[in-house]
Amino acid sequence: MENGDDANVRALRRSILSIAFNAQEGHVPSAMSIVEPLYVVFRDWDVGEGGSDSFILSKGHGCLALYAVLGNLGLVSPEDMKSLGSSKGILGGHPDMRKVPGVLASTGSLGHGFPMAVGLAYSKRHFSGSGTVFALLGDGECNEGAIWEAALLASTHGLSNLVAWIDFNHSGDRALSLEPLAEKWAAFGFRVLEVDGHDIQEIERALMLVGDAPTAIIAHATKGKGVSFMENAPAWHHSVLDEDSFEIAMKELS
Amino acid sequence: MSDLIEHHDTLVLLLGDIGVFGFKDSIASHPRRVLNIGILEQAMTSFAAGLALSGKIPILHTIAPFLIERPYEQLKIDFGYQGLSGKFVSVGGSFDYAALGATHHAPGDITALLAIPGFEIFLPANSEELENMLRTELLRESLSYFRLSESEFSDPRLDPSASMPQLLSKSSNTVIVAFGTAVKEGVEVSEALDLSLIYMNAITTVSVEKLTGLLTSSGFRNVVILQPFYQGSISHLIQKGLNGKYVLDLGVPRKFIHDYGTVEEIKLSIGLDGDRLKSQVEEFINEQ
Repeated sequence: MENGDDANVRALRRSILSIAFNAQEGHVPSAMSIVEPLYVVFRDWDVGEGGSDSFILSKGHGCLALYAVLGNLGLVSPEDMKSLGSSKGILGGHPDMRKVPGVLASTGSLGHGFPMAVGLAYSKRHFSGSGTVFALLGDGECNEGAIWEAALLASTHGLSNLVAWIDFNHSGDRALSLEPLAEKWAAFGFRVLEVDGHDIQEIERALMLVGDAPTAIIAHATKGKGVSFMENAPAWHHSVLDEDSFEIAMKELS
Repeated sequence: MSDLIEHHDTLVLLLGDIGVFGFKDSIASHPRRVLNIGILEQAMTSFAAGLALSGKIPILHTIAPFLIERPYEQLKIDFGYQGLSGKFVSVGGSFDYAALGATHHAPGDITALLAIPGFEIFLPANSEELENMLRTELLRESLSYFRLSESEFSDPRLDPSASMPQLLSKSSNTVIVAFGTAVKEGVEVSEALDLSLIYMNAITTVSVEKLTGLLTSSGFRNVVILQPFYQGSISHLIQKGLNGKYVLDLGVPRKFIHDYGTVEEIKLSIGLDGDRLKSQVEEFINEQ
């Protein structure tokens, strides 16, 4: 029997599909692979608008998942949810922190969000005194040198209030091998946890362990999760849903 | 700057492993707000944006190419696009590190920064001006670049408290508009040829408007732009003020400098020494 979390997560995935279908735009599979961590972080931590904790979506192209969560929280209006990428709304194919409530950083160019999160974590730790900073990175994004520069900074400055969530959906495999990824983060001074990125309970348990050291959570995930024909199908990375595929996908998630 | 950091908790100084000795006392007394962050300019810039997101005003300092060109996209997106405040203080001018070669030159910094909407640029010719600019600008919510050079030029006519065009002399209908440290050569040439001289130590919306207005209203027939960075970096900004005038646009030629040597030797090799500038300006005037 399905529990409430499963139903909520499915609803978020349907919301992602609707946003993308209405707009005929968006990186749907990249959003599908990060729904569970976003759901848990926004549910259990104070990362909403003006909260004491902070969340930065470093892989900005996964923003449909963030919009779905923000819409669910009432931070983004139903009208805006229907006008992604249009001149009428505030939502774009990558998030704009000057427009969207709850979006802390304008990401989209990979390798920027995580170093910003490190600066923010430094500030919280040394100046404001409290708050955890979450950055959600893609595995492909870990090709960027600035990620590793920032990882060095985080461990050097002992930012135990920082969580790097790595969405390991293997989108980067076709170019560069990141393995052994856990060892790499550990070598840069992070405490590393590995979870199933779609298992709510594992995610909850991992996040309860945050706090003693800069933490990297490597989340094994499936790109396109929840829609059979999108799962691990590179062609869907930035493809448009037509009426038939939308209907099939919605049915799979109903 | 140490004094400002001492008294203002919002300021956080990040050193890119440059100038560390000069700030050793500040590092000791404010280790959380004065950091030798290391040699990782891209992450340093985004890290600084993270500080800015929390309300701090980050000040970043390293050699010009590593401050501006290496983390250019971080400047553009993390600060420019996001509209955050940050203060970027370079050292090395265009080719102060003349003996080190072109890896340490940055004559393209101004062209690059002018392509990022919102940047205000300050070009002090001496340390007194710099001091005044920092006192005025560091605590302001803005995106600023301070272009420092090892060359120091003082003249009693320079107003260290102004970040506006300064009409240093008005004698003929040919005016030299000298930017930043090029005021040294500007004074030399204007005195030798009895020309008018305007000094510009800032490129901001207001200062550019004032300069355009000054050029438009003052009846100059010939304008010589003298810039210590790439030739042609500025003229498009003051086009209205140049309309109907003869213009000589002088600056660092847009080519890589493969010579080593002293700053003066490099200036000689690219035609930016006083004598060569004088003859170029003379030729320009005679052609009109």
